Amino acid sequence: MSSSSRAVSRRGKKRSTVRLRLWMTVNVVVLATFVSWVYWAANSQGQAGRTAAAAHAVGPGAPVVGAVGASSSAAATAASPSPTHTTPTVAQIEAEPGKYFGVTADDLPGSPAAFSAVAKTAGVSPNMVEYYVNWTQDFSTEDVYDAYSEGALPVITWEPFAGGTTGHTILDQPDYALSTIIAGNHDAYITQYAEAVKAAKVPIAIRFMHEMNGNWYPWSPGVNGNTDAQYIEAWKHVWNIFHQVGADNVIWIWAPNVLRGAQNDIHLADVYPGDKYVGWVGMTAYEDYESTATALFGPTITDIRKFTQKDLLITETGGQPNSNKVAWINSLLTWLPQQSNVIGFIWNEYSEQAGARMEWGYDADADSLAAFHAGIKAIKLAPIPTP
Amino acid sequence: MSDGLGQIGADVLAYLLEMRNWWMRGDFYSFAAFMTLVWALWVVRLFLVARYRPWRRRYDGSVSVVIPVVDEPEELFRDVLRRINEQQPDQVIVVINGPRNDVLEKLCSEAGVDWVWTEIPGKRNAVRIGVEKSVGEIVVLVDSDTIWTERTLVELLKPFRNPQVGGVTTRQRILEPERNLLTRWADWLESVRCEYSMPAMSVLGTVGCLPGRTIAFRRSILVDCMEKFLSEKFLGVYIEVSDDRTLTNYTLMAGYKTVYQATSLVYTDAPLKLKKLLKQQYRWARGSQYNSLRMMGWMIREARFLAVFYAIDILVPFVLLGTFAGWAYAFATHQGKPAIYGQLPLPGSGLAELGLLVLSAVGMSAVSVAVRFGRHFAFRPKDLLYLPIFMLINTGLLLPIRLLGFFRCGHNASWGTREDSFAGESSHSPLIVVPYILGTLMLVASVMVNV
Repeated sequence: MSSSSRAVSRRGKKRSTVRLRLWMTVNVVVLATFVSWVYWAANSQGQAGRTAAAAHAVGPGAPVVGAVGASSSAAATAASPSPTHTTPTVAQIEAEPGKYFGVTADDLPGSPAAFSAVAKTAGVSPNMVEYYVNWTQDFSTEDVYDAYSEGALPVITWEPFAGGTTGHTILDQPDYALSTIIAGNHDAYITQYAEAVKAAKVPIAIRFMHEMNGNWYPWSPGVNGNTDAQYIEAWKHVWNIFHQVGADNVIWIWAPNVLRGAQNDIHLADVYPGDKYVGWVGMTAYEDYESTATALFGPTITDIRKFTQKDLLITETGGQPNSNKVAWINSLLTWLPQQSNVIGFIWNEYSEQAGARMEWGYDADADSLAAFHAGIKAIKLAPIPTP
Repeated sequence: MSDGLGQIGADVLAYLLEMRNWWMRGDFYSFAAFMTLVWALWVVRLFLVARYRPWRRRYDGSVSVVIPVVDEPEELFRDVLRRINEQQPDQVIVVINGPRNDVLEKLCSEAGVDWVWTEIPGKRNAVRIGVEKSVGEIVVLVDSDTIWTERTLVELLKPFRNPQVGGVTTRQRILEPERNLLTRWADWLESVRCEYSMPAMSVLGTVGCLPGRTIAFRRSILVDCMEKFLSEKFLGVYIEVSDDRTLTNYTLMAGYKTVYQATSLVYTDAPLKLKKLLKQQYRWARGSQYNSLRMMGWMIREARFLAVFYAIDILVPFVLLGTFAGWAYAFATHQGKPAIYGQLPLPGSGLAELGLLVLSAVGMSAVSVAVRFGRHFAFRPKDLLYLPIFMLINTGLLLPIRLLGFFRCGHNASWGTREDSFAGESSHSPLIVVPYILGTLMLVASVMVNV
């Protein structure tokens, strides 16, 4: 090879090297863009999924047929009873773009008088009602339909234990250790409950084994002989029974306690059953000394968002009677509309008489109530379809 | 021939979503684990390729070229001989096997090369006869349809300056790849092998299979292994095909290096008809996996990287099949789409959602392949347009062929594209069940993990 042809070949080689590097750079950048898009999209799924689905939800009927041109205004009209009276669906509920103002209070659901009293005090009719059912109690179709008749979505806090009043009687319940659920000891009860839920047809939110990161219920890991893995297994066990029965009208709520005050050695990610088994995530969080919503919810939400982007409902809240309360209510009600994947809150309005430790209510004093009135009116609530 | 399916473009979107779940929740996915391994191997390979340099100094030993031939179009074979003669090897021996062929005999005489006829059909016997008649220190085995380029021989011999090198292979490409889809696909496979697996393995001195279109061996190695080459059994059978891989094995086991010389280029034809291509791939799939099993013990002891490489090669179709089964199962049982995609915000209704999903999955897989095989696509970007079809061929045709080939690799009845060249008695051995058992185990494991 002559020296000139060698030079030519070297130049050619250099050109092809440049070309290869350019090609690799461009494609690696494109691939990286794709990867970040997937990451971003998956993380924002909660919000976008809700809005996108809302665009398709039309009328309280399912399956959705002829949804062409449906808009969120069409979804809003779903609140009024449809002439055909079809059953609402979970998808429809999850698609609602509005927020939830829920209450848990004496005699709810079941007492229309109690409900209108709550609505009157709050200045707005709640669109969610939460109540407690333990594993010695059967499912009540009545309760569920009572809630719907008030325009409220029923949220059942379903507690796998026999109830109890003081620390020891609550905690020492070996019959309800998670291992017994996994072993199938309670399958008959669960199956019966699931069948009743299925028969009710309407969407029902179930907050199951809540505040698992606390140490005050017998289903928490670290007490009653339970472990993290058993918690997840027990959850899946129950979920699977519902699934086999065909009770798919359930929105499963997985709801830890706010990190402050919970067991430090339980990591939420370790007790999360997985997105497949969960509809919404929830959180118990009472204002103690915090004066902003971010201060109270922030650390826990940050932790939860590391492993799931599911819509979050503050399943239990309230404020201590203290000087921070008004500021905190203001903060909560301005914060909520800004959160794309926090869908609402449930206020604990149980009176001290009925067993609450203190007056947590937004109506405990005049200033708090005024702050609440002002804030809640500005929030667009999700319409609940009538069955 | 044919190292594998590494080229299959698996769904990168699903991979990313699975990795996300793994990262955030610790969920394990066999597909994700496997894809990670594939990418990791790619990185290792890239490091090796970066160290690859062709040999540059001349080797002056004597050389004999052996060309076994059954039947070949006159024009083509004349051209093949002319090109070889032009490079002045010390000796050219054409071994015509099978029925007598006046045309070829005349052609050889005209070209002034030695030729010999044997009535025993079969390439291996032809190689034996060629090697016996050869006198050069180096014997170059050439397929009768392989077109040499100007410096094929002189470049091919260079690595023999190193006394440890026992076998050398060329770079090979397909003649006029633009002819049709199949030739384009075949060229893509060849190109990827020449740009990635061959140079990487060459750096380690263990090219697992020196492709038979043109290979150079030290004559002494061929002479020493000839008896085994013609008779050695594995899984109770003697298998005629895959002669190139078998000779490579003997060379490696004799302690020599097998290397790749990128500057020595040959062209070869590819089947134009799908049926012929499938037969060829099936033949390679069986031969390659038969030899992988046969060599596995030795590779694990002496050439670990090669062992991993070939093990992956066998495993890929099984893992992918299991993954597909898992997805099909998810689709059939209520979820409608693999649950993994549920993490993405997609328009709610069926067709639009599916469309967008397929589009992003295909798009991402295409880009990832563009990266993984950049050394090909940077210079033939137009091939990217054909990539979906390539992936379809790989997944829809090559994958089942590889699986079938694994199960049936212990059978030795007549197979392949060269019916009239096959010799050897048809025998059966109980060991034939070994690949069936292994394959069933892998299949069951893979499906179990995924469903």
